[in-house]
Amino acid sequence: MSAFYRKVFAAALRPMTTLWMGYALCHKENLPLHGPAIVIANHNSHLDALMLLNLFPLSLVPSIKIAAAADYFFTNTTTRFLAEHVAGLVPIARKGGKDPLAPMVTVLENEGILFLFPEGTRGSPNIMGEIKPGLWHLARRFPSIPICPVYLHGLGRALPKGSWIPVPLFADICVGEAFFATSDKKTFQTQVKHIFDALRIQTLARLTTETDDEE
Amino acid sequence: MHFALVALYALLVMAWAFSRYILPNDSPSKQEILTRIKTWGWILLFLLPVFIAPKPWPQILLGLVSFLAFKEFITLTPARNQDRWAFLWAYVAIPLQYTWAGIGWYGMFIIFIPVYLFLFLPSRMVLAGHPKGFLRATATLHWGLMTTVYSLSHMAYLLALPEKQNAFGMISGASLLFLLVFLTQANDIAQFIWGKTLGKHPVLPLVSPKKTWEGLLGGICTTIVLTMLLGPIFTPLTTVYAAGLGLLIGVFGFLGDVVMSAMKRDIGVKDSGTFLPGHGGVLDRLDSLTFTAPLYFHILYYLYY
Repeated sequence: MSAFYRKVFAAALRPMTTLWMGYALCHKENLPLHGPAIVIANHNSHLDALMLLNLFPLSLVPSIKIAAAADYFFTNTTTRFLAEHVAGLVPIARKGGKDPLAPMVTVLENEGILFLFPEGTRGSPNIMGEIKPGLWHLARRFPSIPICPVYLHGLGRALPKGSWIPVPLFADICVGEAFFATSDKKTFQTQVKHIFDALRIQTLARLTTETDDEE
Repeated sequence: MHFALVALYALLVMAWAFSRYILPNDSPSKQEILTRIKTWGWILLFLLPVFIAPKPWPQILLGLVSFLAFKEFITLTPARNQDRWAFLWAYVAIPLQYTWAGIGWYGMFIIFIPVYLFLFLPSRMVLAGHPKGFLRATATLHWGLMTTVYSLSHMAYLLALPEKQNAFGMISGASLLFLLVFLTQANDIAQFIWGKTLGKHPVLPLVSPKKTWEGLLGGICTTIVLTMLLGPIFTPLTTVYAAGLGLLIGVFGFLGDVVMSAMKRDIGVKDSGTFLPGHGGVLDRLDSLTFTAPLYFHILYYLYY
């Protein structure tokens, strides 16, 4: 039943993400075609996860899980049901608890695709926050699982923190080449940061060009 | 009307065949021209129901075009976060404006954005309480609405005009709209082709360096001839008035184009978007229409309706 809810949810979102919003996508071919895989993205808005979901075919949607703050999305029975069975969120305990990675480990062991926002929070629009160590701890356990970086531009402006109706705006999305975990935590975090910096420059370069237009 | 649409498709196929088989393979812009023609095919397919479907489909589709153009404009221009609600209200104005056009409520159609939204949007913005960047924000938003929604919605109001008799038969609003879109785009293409073949002296080198006097004048002459030939068939215009209208479309099509170029250059972007492969954004294709649509409408409205 959950798989069905998930597909309906993803399908119902498509008019919003493609018509109300709309986006330009570069290097779609870098997206994973099947699990297990980790998709990481910068995070400014609730639209981020919905946009990422839109990049995958409906048939893959049931295998996609989105890492989400347990204290934010899993507050009561109703939201817990919706979060888990409709949106496909996996709860991550942000403070304390036993093994906060356990739910994500399960996703990857079941050959799922995991969406993870390594900044851990939405932060300020178009500013990349600190990469939290969680991604490294997770990736280190699965050194052969590809990590696919995606840069999302403009969604923080469409639906910033604290608002509920997205202003229609075109987003720009750039998918980077997959990479794998390294054994050193600091090196890994710097690497991820560099990858996102490069993707951001690539995305913005496509928008702003000094060369002259024809016609 | 139907004949004109078929003829246009035939023209497009001929242009495609010419570019594909006759243009030499080493011609630098061959690939670009082919992509562009292919996108033209999609645009024409999209426009087909605008000319032949019953109300309210043409109005909905044209409203969608305005929505895309306005969205592109809003995406490009820098904005303050506290103006979110003003933006959302501006979007609400799009279906309303096309409703006025659809039901033919001329008084409301003509003042809704220039008067009511001109008062409402800054009021909503000032309630956010921040004076910093206020003028820029309110001016930008209203200019965007005027060009992408108000101007373009004149296309939809053409459809609400009553039928008229001319020497060739009954003239419907769809036929007026067809000629407006055809002439504006033909003018763009004619200026492009004249410029590519003969262009030497740029008109506005800082705004749009590839627009040349040769392209501009060649395009205007071509458009005048086309309007004199087609105007009396598709509209109630006489040949003399048609020549004047052709001149206006040639000149203001160019001006609409360079105004949008100046806007894009000011912001620092090349294209307004990526929606139409080979053309850029929707706004890149509609730039001339934002100027020609209201002019064309008001000239016909003043003279015949």
